[in-house]
Amino acid sequence: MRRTRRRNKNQKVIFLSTIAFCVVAISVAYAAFSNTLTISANATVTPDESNFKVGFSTESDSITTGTVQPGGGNPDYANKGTTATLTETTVSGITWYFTGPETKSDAYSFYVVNAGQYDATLASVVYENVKGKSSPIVCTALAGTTDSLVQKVCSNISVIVTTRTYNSDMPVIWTTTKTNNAVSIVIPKGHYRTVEIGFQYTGNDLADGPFKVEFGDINFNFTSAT
Amino acid sequence: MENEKNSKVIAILALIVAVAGLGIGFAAFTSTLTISSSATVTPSDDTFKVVFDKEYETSGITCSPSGSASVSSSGTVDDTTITGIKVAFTKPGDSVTCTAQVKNSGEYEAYLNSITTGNLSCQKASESQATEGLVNEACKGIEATFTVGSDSATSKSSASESKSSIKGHTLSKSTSETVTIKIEYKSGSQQADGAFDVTIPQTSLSYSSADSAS
Repeated sequence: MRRTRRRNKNQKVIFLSTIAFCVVAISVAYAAFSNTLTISANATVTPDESNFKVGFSTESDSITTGTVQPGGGNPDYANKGTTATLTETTVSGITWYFTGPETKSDAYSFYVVNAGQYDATLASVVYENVKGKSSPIVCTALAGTTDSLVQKVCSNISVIVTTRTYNSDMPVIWTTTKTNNAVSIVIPKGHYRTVEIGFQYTGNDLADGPFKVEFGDINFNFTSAT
Repeated sequence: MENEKNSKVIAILALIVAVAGLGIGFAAFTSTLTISSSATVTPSDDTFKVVFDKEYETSGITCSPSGSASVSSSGTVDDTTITGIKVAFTKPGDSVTCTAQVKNSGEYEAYLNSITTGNLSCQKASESQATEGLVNEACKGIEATFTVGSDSATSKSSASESKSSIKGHTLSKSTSETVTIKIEYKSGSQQADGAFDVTIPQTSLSYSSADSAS
């Protein structure tokens, strides 16, 4: 009887061990299944050109193209200069007639309007050289005029650019006799600044006849960076 | 009488001996029966299978723009990847939302264990005059969010948020669930002054036949 019992016990132990091994093996294999799904995507951002928009204007509330009269249209200055053409990015055709030494700081007035979505910083005003020349001002004696006298007078002639900062009426002035400088003048979005172009003939030197004065372009460099 | 008794005794002894002999002979025989076995499990590819449903909405994915956004490409869907999603924004507030389906076509219950993403990055577009500093600031307003049920991960230019050790997110066999990809240029974000590209890192959805450990 005892022997029979011992045999049965051994059989049971073996059977359980085998089952345990099979169950463990199956469990290990089951836990190893996995799938990984991947997603790739990209984007581009291309702002509208209207997002940064600063331009010359004849009006202060929006960028408006047109013409600019000398002296602000005052009839007293009708013969002192020509009518200038204003586009969003250029003002051209300005000509001033000197008869002798004088200063007129607001010969021509117009606006710079920020119609974009960013604040605009006027980082610098740069006087370019007259095309094909090596100076921002070139004086040329006309027939019958002594060139040496013309050149002596020429050194006393300059273009004046005046604008003002946003929160102050203190003018910021550039002239052709000054080094081009970087000045951070901010025009907040939706705002404007006035710009005045003036001419100055200082001293007492005179030429003995008419002469032509050419000025190089004046570039206003705006940036959205602060 | 005595002989009969002796005979009887002898007979009984002999019988006893015989019986005892028989008993002893019987108790000495034993045998042990042993069963040995092992098993291997080699599942077919179909045994555990969680894939993108390529037939969802015909192409496997559908994208809807919002604001002034546009979808340059909805991408290509195969079993385990969605590639080539390309969207275009012009200003903050723009967004694109794409949806796809994940289906469990295997024999086991599947568990979503994690959604893993990384930081996206922004660069000036080719020939763009954009200012780098403004691009970097605008980039902070770009986000891509990957959502599966109530679990999601978000890719940003910094401090992206992955979702790991997801517990209890079950996808039963023969069922599907929606994965949503939302790429947005958040309202009120800084704008750049030129075009820039956004690179969104590869994002992974990890499914397993076992739930994440508690």
